[in-house]
Amino acid sequence: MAKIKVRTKTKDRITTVSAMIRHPMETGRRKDPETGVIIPIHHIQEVTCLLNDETVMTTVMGTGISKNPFIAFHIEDVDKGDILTLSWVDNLGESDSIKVVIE
Amino acid sequence: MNSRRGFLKSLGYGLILLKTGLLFPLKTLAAWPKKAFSSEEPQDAIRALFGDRTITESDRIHIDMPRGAENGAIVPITVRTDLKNVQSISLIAEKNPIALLAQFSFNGKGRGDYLRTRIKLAKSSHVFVIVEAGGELCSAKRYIEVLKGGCD
Repeated sequence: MAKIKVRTKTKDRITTVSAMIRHPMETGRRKDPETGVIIPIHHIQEVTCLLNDETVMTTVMGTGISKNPFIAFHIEDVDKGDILTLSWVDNLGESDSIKVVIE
Repeated sequence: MNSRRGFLKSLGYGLILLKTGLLFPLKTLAAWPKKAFSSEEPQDAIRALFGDRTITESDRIHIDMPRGAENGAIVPITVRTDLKNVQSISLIAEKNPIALLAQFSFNGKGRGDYLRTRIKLAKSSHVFVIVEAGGELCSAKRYIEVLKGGCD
């Protein structure tokens, strides 16, 4: 199951990076509809984006970012073949990462 | 050769420090600011992030967000700015249980001129955007009607 999807679109060496991460982003305030038990807080805390091992963007987030977080942003001076790495870590220490080659 | 390389290296590092305006290693940038994310009130979150620094309202920050949302669980928001050397963009909801939604930091080739994400909103309120650019703090806000709260 792919947990991260990254799409890139480059024009004039500026790349729009669009990333979607599959994650429940539980606030810790929601009750299980069947049992009535509170579902524990579970959310992404940090998203990091590297371009060829250099940090270009970091996000710190709380529970106010929607389920299955989506982020889009720009990076500049991008060359064909550059490698983009996007990774996340959540409050339970779970993490994932993906590498994409810029076309 | 070695000293020249060393010089270039330290020059590059110095430029990074200048650009981010920070004098500690880049890794600590990503440290999750627990205090900022435990504040209910926007001003407490802002203080936790930026201390008592002055924030100026700016018409160079454009917030694209619907005027109303039936469901506050998924509200798309786009921030555009022509401010130069954007270091970070912070999103804050006026009436959410936790005011700070997220802070996006840009380094090196990361451009802070455009940001798009999806946020949760508990009720009708303002959304505040704070852009840190060239060492200055600038802000903008937009009001949105929310019919069904999305913060449970």
